[in-house]
Amino acid sequence: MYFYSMKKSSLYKGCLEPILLRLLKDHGRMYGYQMTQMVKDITKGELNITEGALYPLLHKLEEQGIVETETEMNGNRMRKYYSLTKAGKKQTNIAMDEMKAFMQSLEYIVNPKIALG
Amino acid sequence: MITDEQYESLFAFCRRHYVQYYDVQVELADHLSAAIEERMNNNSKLSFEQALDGVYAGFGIKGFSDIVATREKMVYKQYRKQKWRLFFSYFTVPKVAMTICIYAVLLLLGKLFVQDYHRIVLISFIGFCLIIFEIIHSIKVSKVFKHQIKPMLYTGERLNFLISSSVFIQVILSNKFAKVFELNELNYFDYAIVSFIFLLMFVSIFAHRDFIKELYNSAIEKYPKAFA
Repeated sequence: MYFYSMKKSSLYKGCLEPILLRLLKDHGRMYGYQMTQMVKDITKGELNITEGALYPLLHKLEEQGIVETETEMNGNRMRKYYSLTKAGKKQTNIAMDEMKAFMQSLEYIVNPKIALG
Repeated sequence: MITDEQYESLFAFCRRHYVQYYDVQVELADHLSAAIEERMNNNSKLSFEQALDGVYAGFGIKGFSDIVATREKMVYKQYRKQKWRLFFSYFTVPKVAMTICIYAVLLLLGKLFVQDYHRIVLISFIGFCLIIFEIIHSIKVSKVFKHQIKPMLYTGERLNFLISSSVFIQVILSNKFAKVFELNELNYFDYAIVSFIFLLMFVSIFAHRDFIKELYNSAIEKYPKAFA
């Protein structure tokens, strides 16, 4: 079981960035924990984004100017929200197109009959 | 729902796990509190401490270290870009007008001192002014952040990139350097080159002043609790 889940997580590894971009595009602004839970819900528990992968990636995207942050007080608590910048919105469209092309290529490999038409 | 005391204890928990920066603690404490609350909602028998242990285990064997390390690297890169952007803004419209004016004044002063020997006195004086300007700027920066009560990665880089003019001027006016460039008697062309280097130093201080303004405004807006 452990081996299976390891293999699965490595399959998802390269897709984490487009997944986060898509989430931000659809929901405007989100905080870290919300993203992990939403991905879990959408994929019905199939994909678990670990904190160790999520935050370094979000910080990298912030440095690249793809996402921007704002903090908000919620009672005594402070929450940091991420949202796409203008450049980030363009980047999301590119990432989605690349993702679709990649999935199409995978489909051809997994199901050669489609490729042969 | 966890209590305010429990929420505050998460900051102490982060510090115990080598996260000393308040801005990183804020994000982690929020993540931990949201995850703990969900665990406690799903299992009412779970204590706060048990839920916290469970959530922290999810961060893997490295704990928070990877998050802090990446954050440090990214903040440094982000600020380096921002500082260069502000530096180059003095060479584009509209600020370039000010840069040209300063250089024109320096060149004009050089013209007023006809003798080559007097130019070396002048350039030494300008160098001295530059050092004083930098010292005043550094004191101002320290004053601006005086009421910051919590250490933040976000503002930790504030004194980097400021070209240390005293070191540069010492090198330029040192005997060895002066001999190579015959600075003991500074002709007008050499004067123009040295004053251009000084101009860059002036601009770097101006750009750094702009950076500090942007950094302070952003830090106050994003992390008001880090300031008294």
